[in-house]
Amino acid sequence: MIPVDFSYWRPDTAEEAVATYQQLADGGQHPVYYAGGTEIVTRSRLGQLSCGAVIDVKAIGEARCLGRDGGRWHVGAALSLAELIHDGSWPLLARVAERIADHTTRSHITLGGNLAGTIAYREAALPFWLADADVTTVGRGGRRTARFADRFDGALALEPGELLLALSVPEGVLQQPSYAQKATRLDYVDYPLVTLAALHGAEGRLSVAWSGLKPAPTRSAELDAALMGPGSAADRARRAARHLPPTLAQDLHGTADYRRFVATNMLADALSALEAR
Amino acid sequence: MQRIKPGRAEHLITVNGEQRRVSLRPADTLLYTLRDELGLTGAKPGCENGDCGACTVLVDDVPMKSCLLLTMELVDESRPRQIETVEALDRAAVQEQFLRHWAFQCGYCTSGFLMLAEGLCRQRPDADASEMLDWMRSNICRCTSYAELIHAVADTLQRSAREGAEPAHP
Amino acid sequence: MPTAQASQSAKQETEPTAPAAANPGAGAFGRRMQAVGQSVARKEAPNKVTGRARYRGDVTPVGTLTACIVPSGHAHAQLVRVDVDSARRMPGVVAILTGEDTDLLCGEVLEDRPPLARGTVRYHGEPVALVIAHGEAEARAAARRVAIQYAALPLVATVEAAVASDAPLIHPALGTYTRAQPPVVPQAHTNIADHAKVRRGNPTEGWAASDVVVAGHYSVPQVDHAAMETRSARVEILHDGRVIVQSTTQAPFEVQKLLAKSFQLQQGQVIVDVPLVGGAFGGKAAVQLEVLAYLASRAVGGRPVQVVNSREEDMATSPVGIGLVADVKLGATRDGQLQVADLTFLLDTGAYTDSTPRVARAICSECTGPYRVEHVRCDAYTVYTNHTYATAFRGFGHFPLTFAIERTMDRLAQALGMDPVALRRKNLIGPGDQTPTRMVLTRSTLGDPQACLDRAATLLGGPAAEATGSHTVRARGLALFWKTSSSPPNAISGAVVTFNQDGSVNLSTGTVEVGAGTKTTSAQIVAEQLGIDVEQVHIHTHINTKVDPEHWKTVASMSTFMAGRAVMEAAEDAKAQLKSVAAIALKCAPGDLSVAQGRVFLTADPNIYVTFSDVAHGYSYPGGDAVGGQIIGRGSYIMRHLTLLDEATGEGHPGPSFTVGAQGVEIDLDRRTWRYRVVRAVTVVDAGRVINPAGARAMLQGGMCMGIGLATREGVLYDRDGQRLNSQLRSYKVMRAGEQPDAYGVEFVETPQIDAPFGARALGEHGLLAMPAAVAAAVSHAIGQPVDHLPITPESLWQLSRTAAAQ
Repeated sequence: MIPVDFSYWRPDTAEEAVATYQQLADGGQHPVYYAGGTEIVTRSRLGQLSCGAVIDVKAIGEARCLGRDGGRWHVGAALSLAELIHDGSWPLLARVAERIADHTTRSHITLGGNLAGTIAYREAALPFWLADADVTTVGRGGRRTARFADRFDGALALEPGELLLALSVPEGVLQQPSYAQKATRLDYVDYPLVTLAALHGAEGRLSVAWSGLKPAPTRSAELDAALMGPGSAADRARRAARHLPPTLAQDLHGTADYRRFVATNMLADALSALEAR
Repeated sequence: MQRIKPGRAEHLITVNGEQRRVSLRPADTLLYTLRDELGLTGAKPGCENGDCGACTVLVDDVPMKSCLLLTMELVDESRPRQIETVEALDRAAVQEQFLRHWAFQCGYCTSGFLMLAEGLCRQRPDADASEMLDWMRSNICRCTSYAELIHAVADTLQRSAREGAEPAHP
Repeated sequence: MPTAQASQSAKQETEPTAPAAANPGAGAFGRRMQAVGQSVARKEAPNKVTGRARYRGDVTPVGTLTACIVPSGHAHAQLVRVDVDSARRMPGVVAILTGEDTDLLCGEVLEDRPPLARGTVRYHGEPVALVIAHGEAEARAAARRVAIQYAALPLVATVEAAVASDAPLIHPALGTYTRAQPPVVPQAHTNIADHAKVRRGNPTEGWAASDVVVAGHYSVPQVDHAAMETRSARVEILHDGRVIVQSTTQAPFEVQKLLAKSFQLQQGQVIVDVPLVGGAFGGKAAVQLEVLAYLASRAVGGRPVQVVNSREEDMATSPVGIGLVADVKLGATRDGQLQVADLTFLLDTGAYTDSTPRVARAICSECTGPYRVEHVRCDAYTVYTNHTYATAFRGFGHFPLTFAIERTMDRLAQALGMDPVALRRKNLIGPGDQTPTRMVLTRSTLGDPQACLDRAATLLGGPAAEATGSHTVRARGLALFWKTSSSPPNAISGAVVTFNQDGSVNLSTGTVEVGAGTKTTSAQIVAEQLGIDVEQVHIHTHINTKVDPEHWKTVASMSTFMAGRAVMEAAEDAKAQLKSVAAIALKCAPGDLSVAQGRVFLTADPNIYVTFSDVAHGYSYPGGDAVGGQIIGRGSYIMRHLTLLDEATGEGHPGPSFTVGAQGVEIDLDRRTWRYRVVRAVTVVDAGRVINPAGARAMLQGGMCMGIGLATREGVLYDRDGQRLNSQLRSYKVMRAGEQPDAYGVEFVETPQIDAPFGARALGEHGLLAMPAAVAAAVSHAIGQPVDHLPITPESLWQLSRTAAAQ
């Protein structure tokens, strides 16, 4: 039960969505883009969000694109996690996504919602952050495609009214060796204590990205570099772990110290798994 | 572009094979519409937060948590969505297996688990144990030991496989 | 119309079985059962798999107003100002109540709780105001406009802090509160709402005789019942003075009495109707929303008003399960004979007492576990904190108690270098022994703990711990439980049996169907007694205090025993009446007749009979004239020989019998990640007599699963300001599919309880009682260190390993 009502808009095109947003915002309606709705519905029920209008973006064709084109793999932001997992083109994305929420809820949550919503973990961002991803948005200034890494630093830097439409990665990335692991306090269905995603890049470079540690996504070039040195997987994991952020989240999922312990183990697991191939 | 003002208005949705005219606000969840407008109280509020699955229904054969959907999302003349609630199940294999395995006690989570299982049987009749469990983790039961539910769903899957159910579709 | 003559000529296909004896336990001894002992599907099962089973929230008449609670945002504060003006002007709002509108104090045992906070808030989530509006949306929207100004008071965050000499007082007026249901012993000018104790034997002698002494400190957090259906109540006050209540309660007659007493009504004016309940686990025995709904209805001219908890309210505003901190010290001789037990329990009742003093006495009653201990000192304190107030939780204090005792028994075994099973076997309490409250046990009242222990140990098998890899280990742990009802000594139950014209039977009892299958069990008992098919017994799934006979409360696993006894008596009463009418029809003495298979027949010649249909509504002669009249069987039961516990020594008789059992788990643990999984769980319980095998197994397994959840993940969390951190099912974690053990083993020992229906013992709560202790034992074996605090998360084990490494 959402106590406070709002208007509902379902544009058919990205431009229509942006124009609608602008018009509603100018009218003081506090609009929000609405995709899977899991955050908007629950936060509205609790009074943590009050919006005068929701703009449902699921009818925008571009936001539901999925497939290869021009040497890149494109994925629309309004696709549900369940659809991405079912598609399976990018194993790393599928592996990360299939540990977000639960099976039924993954039919609700969209890629865009996970990346641009308010819940900090944004685990679906990790694969895109590691790959040479592009992100396409549409805003007042029209369409804009940029490197994902330039616009994402734990959260996606979107301007007011700017709508996340789609992401793409070079086709080659889809086949690159990768690894993902999620640790929770205990339960299979839970927010991450620590989630790690690792990708073995084209030049044999290994990079990892985290969720849960801060708890928003983080990564570190120094940590990636330390993974490449000499020594056993456990040794390198310990060395690399020195480059984990100095302060980690401390909450009901676990203490900062425990997160560090779990993350260190995870690094060793990732190295062993990737090097065993 | 669909545009709906705040406040109550009548809209058409398709529930259990019937077109129903319902009065709703854009902010109404499907759970609310089903229960309070249509009297279909099989779907239960357990958390209204997407955590427990007691409100699970099928939308175009896919299990969805009706507390997380705005009814307006399903009002779409160009693409009528088929909503199915537990009330539509009529001596389905999954119901028989729930009875046979004592897969419920208080019964409050049962409708949601039934629709989840029904969706699984339709979508993934060949699901293996780990896929089945992954689906079943979506819902919470506080009375049973889960073993009863798992046996009931496993037996339903074997049965629907034997009966040559449609293969999985996206 | 069938007559004796016509019946005589009818072909008799089967010989009716011998009639049941009046002795309630008789069925356990030799007679072949028709309905009892069968896995009869629960009566309401077809409705539960079709969405047609109706719960409280499924039927809300148009015109029902909604009242919504405005919760306190502080855990301990003075209410400086509660401004409802802006909320009152919101659309759809009819009235707003605050603590200033009623001076009522509620409390099952001690009247310490205002239904709406007055002057002070004592926990985060406590109701401060009640907004009544036409619909939920309006009520919730307006509730957000209620502006509350607080002045913070010092927080009492733990039971240990609460009992410190300089602790801030949560209830400065404690000494003045009315004691609604003694015994309760408040300590004025402290945070101790009650002190219950056991003094048995001479502990000084016990310590002197002990060669080995072990002590442990344990903690179990508050836990949430998390029934899938949240609590709700609807009240309408009619102009003829009747108060119609619909509620999710486990205790409809308690609601009735409490509303009558609180609002000076005749009890008969209050009618409480309870449909199927979506899980309860003790949390729905507390009376809270019914009072708020009554106040709301009264404020709007008696119009129907409902209060429906959101999940967040159900977890943070309505009561949780009691937390407990325990210090246990045991003394034993070198050969492992227990001599003495010294126990201190601090029960975290949160801001208000509710039923905690009764739980404290239940803990006292069984404080030693099922062991023979001559010398006992036990102190159980009900302690106020600024936590959510607490009430009974499935097991009535026995899962934390069992955890504390069984962990200490494992410590003792280790100190003695003795096998934990052998130590337990050596000290098992038995017939002729006295319980801590000096109840002398018999085989009937106790059952056979040794058979349970031995069988569970066999089922569990294997060594305590064995390596399964370079850093993985498989370990096992076992624990025992016992429990009696700890019900009021005058707890009652009743049953009414009537007949339909076709000879089928209607059964009315006062129990609520919370999922335990109690209505079906009662139907089985009637069917057995009358020798008819269970299908021929029609039950009321709702209970209504106006028409159904009173049953104390649907708690304490007492439905089969208490309602069962009443049902047996009602069936016997109906049988006697059937015989007296049939005696006229069949021209014989009632004593010549037997009843079975829906017939009353000559014991000496079953071919001469009348059917129930012939006589249940009067027997009609061929000419049309009739004798007899409608048969109404009535039965009642009142607890026998129970006594309240003595305030000084704890001496008393807390329940009619015990249920004893042994539980074990096998776990796989990774010493690198400290993650573990319960892979197998076993329970062997003395069920006395299993009335519904599939139902009993399902109930026990469900309890085991819940028990594993309590052991591994559950616990209410607060931040440093006393704010609830996990009042959603997203953050308060319960077991999900896949987290249950791969295999459950449930077996029954059957030592009949002579005065119970067919010998059946209580079973409803017991599946969970020793699971946390068993899991802790297994984990302790796996890591080589005692694990004494719940829940046992991987992080808690990692922390333990670090502490050990540092030492």
